[in-house]
Amino acid sequence: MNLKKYVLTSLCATVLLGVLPGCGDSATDLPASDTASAVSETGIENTDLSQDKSDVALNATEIEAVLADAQEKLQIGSASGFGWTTTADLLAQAEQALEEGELERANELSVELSKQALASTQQASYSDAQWMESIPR
Amino acid sequence: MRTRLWISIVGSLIAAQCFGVFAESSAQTTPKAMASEQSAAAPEDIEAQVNLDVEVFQGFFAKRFSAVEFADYRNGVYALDEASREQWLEIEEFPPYEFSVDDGETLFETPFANGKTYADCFDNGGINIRQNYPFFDETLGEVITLELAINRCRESNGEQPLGYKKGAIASISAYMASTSVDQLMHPEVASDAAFKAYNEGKKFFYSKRGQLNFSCADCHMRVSGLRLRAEVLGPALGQATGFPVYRSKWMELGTLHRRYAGCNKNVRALPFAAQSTEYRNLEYFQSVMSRGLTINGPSARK
Amino acid sequence: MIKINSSSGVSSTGSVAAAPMNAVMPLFAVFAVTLILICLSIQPAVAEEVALSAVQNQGKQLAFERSKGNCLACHQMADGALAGNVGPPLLQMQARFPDRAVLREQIADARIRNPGTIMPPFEAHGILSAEEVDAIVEYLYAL
Ligand code: HEC
Ligand code: HEC
Repeated sequence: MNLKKYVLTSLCATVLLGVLPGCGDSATDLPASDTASAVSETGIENTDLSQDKSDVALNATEIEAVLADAQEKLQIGSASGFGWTTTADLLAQAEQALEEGELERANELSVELSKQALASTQQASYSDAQWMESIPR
Repeated sequence: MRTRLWISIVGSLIAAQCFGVFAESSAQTTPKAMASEQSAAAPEDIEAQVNLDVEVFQGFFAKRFSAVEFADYRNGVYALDEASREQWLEIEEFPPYEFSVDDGETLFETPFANGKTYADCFDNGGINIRQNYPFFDETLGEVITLELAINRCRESNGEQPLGYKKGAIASISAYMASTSVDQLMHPEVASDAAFKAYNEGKKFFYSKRGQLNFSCADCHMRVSGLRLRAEVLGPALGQATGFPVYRSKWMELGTLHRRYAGCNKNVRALPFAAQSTEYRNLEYFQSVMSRGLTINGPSARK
Repeated sequence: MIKINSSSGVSSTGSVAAAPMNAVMPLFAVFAVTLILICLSIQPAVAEEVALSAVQNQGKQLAFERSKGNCLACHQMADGALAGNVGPPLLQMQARFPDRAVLREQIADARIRNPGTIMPPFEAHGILSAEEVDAIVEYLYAL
């Protein structure tokens, strides 16, 4: 065994390593990014007015109505013991944005708040009816 | 020729080493719902239902961790996590809660303005009684925890109530627990009203909460013993026996309800007030599930 | 770690087939050790080499960040440190989720595929926005 053979063997092994899955880089051919074409199931993007703000003028009264509706749902959620820690901050931010006349931001926040408020009431009724699903066998 | 043979052996070694990293897998099974009776019932029926719940609950852990001795569940996550158990045992050699227990003893013995003491409020002068809490008070129709009893004692003697999460109340509770170490916990559910409180605690324990959508059972039963990041999830069995605890993270003693609030907030659920009806019912349910274990509070935790 | 007896537990790691080291050829033993060391040192290097697109990088950050996806809490992922083992390791996502919509749904609301799941419903509960979920999907396809 001489040095030349050592080098040769090491070379061979390096080539081998290159093709070993798990060691090698199996993710070089990345999928083309198609974020833009991604479809969201939530329908939130329909209310995302950043796309159509040119044709719909944001209306403070409407946003206030959305906020009022969300607050009502929040009340139901926390009254049944299923409030989330995330909503108070969202509400405060939305109200501030509204006050400062940043309607686009206020709208975004109030839509997010409505979504979370609804999800927490759904969680409350799910847990009320199906809490036993969490009992492991 | 020999070289090639070796290359292939070494190659397979390397391959095995590389794949080994990924061989871990965990199949999640969906638990089937278990029937649960909630309607009002005769005392024998209540007892039978509660006994069945305890059997199923403790049986779950007996099967999941067959190497863990039942009595060891009072040590929380250290019953499961051998790696951190060593370190914990070392900490318990020179317990960080020692001074607080001494403080608690002093507070416990210091008379109120009216000359009475805590000892006057409790059975057996408040010594060796931790295991009797929580219990369902049939006259008042509510669950009485040790901390609640401490504050009611103060109030009935004209003193201001203490904050429920830490500080003096945790020290007094720690002292009272320290006089009750190794005593058997065996809370009863003996009436319709008690059964209702118990069932409310049970429902709380299994209900998904918070933006992250977890029930207590999700973490402390279904995936107990596994790791969230680097943290091993401890078993729900025994969760009420070691409190109050000195947590390194808190750098002080804290009560069980402080921990409840922490676990609620971690899943982004609004916590309840310490000693709220919700948390007291939860403690009651957890204590019933831990029947047969012994008191070992206060204890040290990470 | 104590043994967990449950179908939801984690099975032990794969065992490495032991090859007998022939004492007559110490040099080859040196080779073996050298190669294993090379392999070990190459692994992280390879992970670094994967050129992530901007959106994939963003997805990776969202997946690792505790206040965002925090997927590492439960899943082992590439070079993510201190991963938990509550969920299965995330790898070979292209092969295992050829349908993008299925992978996306698993993250957006895992309850659709498994009603009893403990994986948080990231988009349905507003933990991540639709755009953030999309970015994570892009990153997962690089795994
Ligand atoms: C997201 C997972 C998670 C959820 C959900 C969760 N916990 Fe915890 N909990 C932890 C972790 C992690 C710890 C620290 C390790 C341990 O002791 O188990 C912990 C610790 C505790 C402890 C302290 C145990 C001890 O011996 O010091 C108690 C008590 C507890 N949890 C009760 C609850 C209750 C009651 C609920 C439901 C309201 C709950 N937990 C929900 C993760 C969780
Ligand atoms: C609280 C633990 C938890 C967290 C956090 C979590 N998951 Fe999961 N995940 C699971 C579990 C458990 C499963 C197994 C299937 C099931 O129960 O839904 C799973 C399954 C998956 C699967 C399907 C894997 C397969 O092989 O079928 C994907 C993909 C996935 N998770 C992605 C993610 C991503 C991305 C994130 C972060 C945004 C994430 N998970 C966060 C627990 C978690």
